[in-house]
Amino acid sequence: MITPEAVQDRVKLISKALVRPVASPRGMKMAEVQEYLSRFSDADFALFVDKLGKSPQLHAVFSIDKMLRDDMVATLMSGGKALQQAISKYYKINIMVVKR
Amino acid sequence: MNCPSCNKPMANFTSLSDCGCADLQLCKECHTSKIANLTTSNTAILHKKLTEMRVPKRYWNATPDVSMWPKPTVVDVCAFKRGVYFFGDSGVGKTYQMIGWLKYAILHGIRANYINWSDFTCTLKSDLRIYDKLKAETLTAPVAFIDDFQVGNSYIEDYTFNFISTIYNEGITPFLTSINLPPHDRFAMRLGEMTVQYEVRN
Repeated sequence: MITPEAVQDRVKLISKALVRPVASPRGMKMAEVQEYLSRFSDADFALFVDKLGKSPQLHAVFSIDKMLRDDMVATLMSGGKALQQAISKYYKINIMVVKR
Repeated sequence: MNCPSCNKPMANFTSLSDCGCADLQLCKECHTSKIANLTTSNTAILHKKLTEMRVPKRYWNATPDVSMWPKPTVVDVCAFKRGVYFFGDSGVGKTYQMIGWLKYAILHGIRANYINWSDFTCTLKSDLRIYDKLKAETLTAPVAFIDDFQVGNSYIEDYTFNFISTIYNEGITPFLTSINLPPHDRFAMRLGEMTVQYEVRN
């Protein structure tokens, strides 16, 4: 299980990617977030933060609650599912990385 | 088919004209001057069509990138059974990808229209009564390429929905670029069915 300090560090990374403040969880919520984020290594979480940062569609809708509810770290790393859930169920969003 | 002169297999080439295109079989060794002339003529016709469509010159050398696409998607899009909705930040290459597909359509003799949505809505806002005329003019081909698509505010949203709905009802294949996907269900239902959605990133 990761420490509350590690959770706070990860929340800071999210906040940096979103370029807006995100409140650190406290009390019971901290325990939930701690348990959830313990599933992911630092490398996996860094990849999630990178994808989150590059996805303006998710910026507006992201919250710690939503991250837990939608298992956003896993879904975003597995492709565009989190985006799809965030925007509309009628889309099947794919990601295309273009080299320039 | 083999070349009558050297007996080597001939290759397929496309000859573009103002009316469409035709397939030609030429030998890469015996017909070098014909192939060179054909390439020059095809490029000239392609550029003429892009100019007529008012496609910005900076995208004229665009080519679509399908390296990350699943094969069924490539097959559907190449046959223009489905369009593509490219979205993402400004400058990531959405329009470049879309114009690549526009060139692909022209080179395969598919009639297409290019619509700059910003121009379209500006013209529309100047006089809403010309909407029907504007719509009829821009939806004359089986494939529509719509650049910088935006749903817009409530003032223009009904017109935008009507436009998308017409594309849907007429069976026109749309290719769109936008900074985002419209979250409204009435747009999402149609666009989700007509297009494959790709978030473009660098």
